[in-house]
Amino acid sequence: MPITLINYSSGIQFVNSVYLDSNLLIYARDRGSIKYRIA
Amino acid sequence: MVLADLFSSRTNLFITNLVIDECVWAFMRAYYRIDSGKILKPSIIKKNPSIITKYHWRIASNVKKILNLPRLTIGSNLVPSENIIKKAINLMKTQLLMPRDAFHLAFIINLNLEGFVTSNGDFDNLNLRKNLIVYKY
Repeated sequence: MPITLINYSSGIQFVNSVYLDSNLLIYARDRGSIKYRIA
Repeated sequence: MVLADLFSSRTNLFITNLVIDECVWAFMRAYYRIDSGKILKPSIIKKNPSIITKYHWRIASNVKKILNLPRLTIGSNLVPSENIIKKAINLMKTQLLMPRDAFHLAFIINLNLEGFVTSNGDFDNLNLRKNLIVYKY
């Protein structure tokens, strides 16, 4: 079955268990990144 | 914002050694780029291993902060490696994924996780036997 794609929006409620990709953690540690705020 | 919403959802977060490996490389490349203005490649480190020493403290500090995230589990400890390898090799063929991406997905499936938070578009067209929500940011 196809996966369900959800584009992140602020305040979204996530499911109980998720796997995080490395980019999220990298952006969150890099204040100079254009994705720092969203991470 | 993504992490803040994950925390407020009280979602159980999973990573693996692969994720940390990718983070460490990214941190080291970023520090080297800031210092030298150049792109760090493995061959540069092999010629000058002191680069690792120079950035090690900052990298270790960052990794420690990641490992201290609330409700974070290192999933690689929870599933037999042989199962992951077999699943990843299979996923490369069935989902046409690059090896590293196939290993990430193998962990997601074998850990029976409900969601995947990623900015990687290579997972947009998966067709799996299980339900999986891919959150794109």
